[in-house]
This record gives sequence, C-alpha cells and structure tokens, in this order.
Amino acid sequence: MNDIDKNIIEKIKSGKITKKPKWIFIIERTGLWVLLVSTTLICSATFGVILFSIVDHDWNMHEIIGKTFFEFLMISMPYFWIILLILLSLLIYIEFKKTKTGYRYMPHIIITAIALLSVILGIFWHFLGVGEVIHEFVSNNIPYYEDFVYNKKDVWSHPEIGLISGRISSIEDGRFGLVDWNGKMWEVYASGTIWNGTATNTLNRRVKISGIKDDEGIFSAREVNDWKESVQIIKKMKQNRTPARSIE
Amino acid sequence: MDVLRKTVNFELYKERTDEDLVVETLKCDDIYAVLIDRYQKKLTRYIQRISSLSNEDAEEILQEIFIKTYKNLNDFDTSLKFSSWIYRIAHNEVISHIQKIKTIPFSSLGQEGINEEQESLAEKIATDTDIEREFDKKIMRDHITSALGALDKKYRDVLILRFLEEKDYEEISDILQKPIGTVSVLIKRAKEKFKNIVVEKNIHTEL
Repeated sequence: MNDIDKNIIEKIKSGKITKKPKWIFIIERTGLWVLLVSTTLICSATFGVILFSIVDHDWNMHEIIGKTFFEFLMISMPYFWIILLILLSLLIYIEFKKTKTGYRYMPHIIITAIALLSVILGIFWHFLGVGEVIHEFVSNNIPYYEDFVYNKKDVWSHPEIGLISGRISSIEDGRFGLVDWNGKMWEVYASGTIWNGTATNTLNRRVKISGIKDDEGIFSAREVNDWKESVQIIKKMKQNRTPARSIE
Repeated sequence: MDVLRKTVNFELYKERTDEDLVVETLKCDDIYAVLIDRYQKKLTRYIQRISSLSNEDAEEILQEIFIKTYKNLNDFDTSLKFSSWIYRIAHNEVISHIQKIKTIPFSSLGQEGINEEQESLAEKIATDTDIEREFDKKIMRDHITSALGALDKKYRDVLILRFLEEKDYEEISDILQKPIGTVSVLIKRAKEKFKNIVVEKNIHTEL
C-alpha cells in the first residue's frame, strides 16, 4: 500500500498532477452565486407579475360575461407565470443546494426562504410597477402568451357587449376621442357619464369604458374607469344595459 | 514511503492537525505525504466497508481519492474538518466507481463475503440497541451481519459512518452532504429497520 504514497508524490513532482488554481474555484463559486441571485430576482419579478395580475384583475367581470366566480377564476389564472414561478423556485433550490453549505439546510427551510424572499421582493417590484412592465413587454413580444393569462385588453375590447378600452386621444365638449388597443378610433359620447375612481377626461389617459355601441366607431359611455383600477359600479351594467343618460 | 521519509520528517508533523497540513501542503507538495500516510489505512477500510470491493479495486479508488483531493486542495473549506472532506470525496468516488462497474455493493454478499469489519459493525450496532439483552450474542451476530446486507444503502452508509468510522452527526452531515436533521432521522430509521430485520431473521431460524 505504501506504493500509493510514492506514486502520488512522484506524479505530483513530475507535474502529472497539479493543484487547480484557487481562482478557478473562486470563479465557479461566484458564478453560482451570481446565477442564484439572478434566478431569485427573476423569480421575485415573476411573483410581481402574478401580484399585478391579481390587483389588475376585474374580479366582478364574471357577472358580465356570464360565468360563475370559480369558472372565471379558473379561466383567468396567470398560469404562465405560476408555472414559471414553480420552475424558477425549483432552479433556486437546486442552485442553493449546490453552494458550499447548501446541503446543511433542510428542504422545508430552503423552500420557506425562497417563498418569503420571492413574496417580499415581488411586492417591492409590484409597487415599482415592474410587474406591469414585464406583463406588457411579454404581451407584445411573446406569441401565444395572452392565451395563458387573463387578457384584460381582450375582455375590454367587446363593443358589441358594451365594453371598450384604450387611450384618450382628443377631448371635446361632451365627448372624447379614444384609440383602442387595435388602433381603431372611437368617438365616445360622455355627457352625464360616471367617472369612477381616479378616471379623468385627460389626454393620453388609459381608460376602460362600459356603455353602448351606437354605430361603427361611435360609443355612448355609461361609466369610465381608469385602466389600472378595478371596476366599481359595473355590476349595474348587468341589471341595466342602457346608458345612464341620454346622449347629447 | 522510505523515500518520502527522507524528504519529509513525519515525526515533525505528528502533532499538527490535518487542517494545518493542508495549509503546509499548499506551500510545499511534499507535506501531502503526511496526509496520505494518515488516511490511507482509514480510507481503504472505509472503501471496503461501504463497497465490498476487492483490495485491487480499493487501492485503485484510494489513489483516485488522494489525487482528486490534491487537485482540489485550494477548494478546501477550512470551516470543515479535513477528515469530513476527504471522506466525502471517498464516498463520492466509491459511488461513481460502483456505477461504472455496476458492482452490487455489500447487500448482495452472502455469508462468505462477511468479513471482520462487518462483524465489528454488527457488534457495535448491537451494543447500541437493546437486542443484546434478548438474544444470545453469538447467534445474534450472524443475524446482524446478514441483516446489514439487507439494509438499503442509505441506511447502511449512516450506520457504517456512525458506528464503525465513529463519526458524529455533523461529520456525517458533511460527508454525505445531507442536513443534520436528515442524518439523525436516517440513523434512527436505520436502527429500527435493522432491529426489525434481526428479529425477523431470528423467528425464521427458530422455525
């Protein structure tokens, strides 16, 4: 067995075996931590998008589209982001376990830490508006994405059932111009219209409107809501599909 | 070894800790011989305990372990015990070797394969349980030895480390890279399973 000592030391001396330089380990370890931190940030941003989807959701729309709340919940869950959140959490778990002391922690402690960190950072991202920015970016750039999330723009682009939305492009007495998400121009009559919450008749403001389509490109608004706020009085639409006041 | 003893005065390093020797080896490669000398017998026994490989195979793996350890000396975490680190390398190397050659370790051994080490493990585990009080020690030892072979690898590994290598929970955690809580549960379950197997085997004998 003593030959082992001799063989190894001889190999070392002849240069056949060399120590890996310290910098390689430093790079490997730093790389892993950079990956871990990046994945955690992405994961928390994902939670931020989910939070945005929840807050931005028109929770009482199910009454308008004739579904039960549960059915509406099922079709409007942000599946894309939930799946991504699970996958990223799994990746964080694996990456953390690969760190030098990662194995010392019980799985439930790691999972709780990942969840807490994602929630806290996710709330932070949400209040910075990152969730919405990501949602918009992905909506505009990833094909089929909108099939997997509650598509608010799509829901609010049904003039035939009295729902339109877009950006205010011009303001006149008793009416305003609106460019919807498809670029179509609408002349919206708003005399006696209820402006809910923070919605105001301001140029470039994004709004969602309930009312009646009078003609092609002409709409009578019953209620106007700010695009970001959840609908407050829309329930009444179901009871009375006519505009609140006559159009001037 | 004699050649090495000429260049390295082993006596000089007798009192030095393994961790000190790692630091010294990083400065002077010859010092590594002291670490090899300290661990080659221990690791050879450990390799055979967890794998039942032949002496030749064990020697081959041992060489790989020392080479791997040397190559990665700069990665040694001083917050760990060197022994835990080299045992971890040894454990992983054995697993990787077994996967390569598809040798079925320990559990497939028949009575012929039972060696003194396994009997020693059997005795130590027996002392740690209350089985000893209930059965004749001599008969029990045979059963215990074959019972060890019937255990899952994960249970056998912790029993070997705990009772033969006499490692504490923290060291086992560092060697197997599992949380201490998991190690504790594994040891507890391993002892329970072991006890059940021994009891079952005794009933079988009586029948």
